[in-house]
Amino acid sequence: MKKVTKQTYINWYKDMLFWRKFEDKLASVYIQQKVRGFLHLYNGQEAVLAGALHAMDLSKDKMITAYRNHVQPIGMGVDPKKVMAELYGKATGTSKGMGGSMHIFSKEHGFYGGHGIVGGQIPLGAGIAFGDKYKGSDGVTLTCFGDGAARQGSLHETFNMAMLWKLPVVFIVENNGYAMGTSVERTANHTDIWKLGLGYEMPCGPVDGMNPIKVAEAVDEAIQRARRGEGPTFLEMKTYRYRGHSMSDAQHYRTKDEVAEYKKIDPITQILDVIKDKKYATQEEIEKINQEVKDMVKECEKFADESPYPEVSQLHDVVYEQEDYPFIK
Amino acid sequence: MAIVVNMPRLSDTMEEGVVAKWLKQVGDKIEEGDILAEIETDKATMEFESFNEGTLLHIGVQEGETSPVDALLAIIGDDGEDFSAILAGASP
Repeated sequence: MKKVTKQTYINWYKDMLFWRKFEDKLASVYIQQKVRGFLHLYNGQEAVLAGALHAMDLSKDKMITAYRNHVQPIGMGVDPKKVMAELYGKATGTSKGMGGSMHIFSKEHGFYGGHGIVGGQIPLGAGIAFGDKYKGSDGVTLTCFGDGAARQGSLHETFNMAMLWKLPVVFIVENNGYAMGTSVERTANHTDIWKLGLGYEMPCGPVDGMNPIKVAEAVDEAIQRARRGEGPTFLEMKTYRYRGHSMSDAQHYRTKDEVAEYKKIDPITQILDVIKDKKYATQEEIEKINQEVKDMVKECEKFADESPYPEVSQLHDVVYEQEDYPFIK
Repeated sequence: MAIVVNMPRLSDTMEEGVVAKWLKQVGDKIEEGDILAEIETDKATMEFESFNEGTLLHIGVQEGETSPVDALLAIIGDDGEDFSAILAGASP
């Protein structure tokens, strides 16, 4: 694994803070109807992405996830202004404004979405890994899903085939405690989702999903295993989300005390504490980062606000290949 | 500068909201993330957090009242700021 240095901590702090503020901005523009449809925010789960990215080789590794998917492409190199514009439904967005919140994609940066069907991306992720193996690349695909999706039958079929063919894939369940409003305790007779790997003899285990270092170590081990041709790993990130499942979630299924408890082990605060303790940055430098993050978010909002909506003619652009649509006369 | 806070659209199907309870009163200091009010939507009663900071200058929808999404709900600004121009320009 790449060494975790002073600069790694600074980058983690800045990236995670930016992701958090980016999502906060989306919440505030959603209620003004600038962003429509559903909106699922990543607040609280940032350590999973920060740690995973540290372990990945972005020149060849790929990622696929569900609909909580705004900040992953940003972490992989997609221009955040384009992600914001996509959420606004603008022509300058990652999918020309036709995908929206749940469908961010970037083939260029190896980010394969952005899927609205719960658990639908689990077999797709194994398929991308199959593609790499078939073509002889040593790229690895990180396939992420939530604790709700872990209860889908497609997970079992995929696990079986991924082990049988030793596919280069890392399955990551981001267990934030709740499948919409249903707690993990209420969906199975035990709460250790990682144990689902045992039946397939897939290397598996739990990871502290609030700490980027723990995540990076676990994901690195899994990626190296896959690169060596030894097949998949299943990791359960024990994490938490501070906001509702989506914006329209009144969160009556949990207490405010529970949310407050998790905020004590907030990933951003944990990293900032290390930076302060080890004097990796001065207070002045930290404030400079905070200001840069604010400005970056503002820039994204401005870009999205000022971008045009797609032309009506674009509606057919991805439906038929030929210019003369046979059914529209 | 005073900021107008409109009745938020808290769910994709919400068209109007009822202010179930104000948790802040005119004159209160507001921090980003503070819960301003509880708002009843077509689905549930939800907490409405502030994305702005300042002083709560004006309440446009009283407790128990219903108003459509985007109607003037509150004005947040600096202490003692004159917001009469905003009120004059706001739709009834």
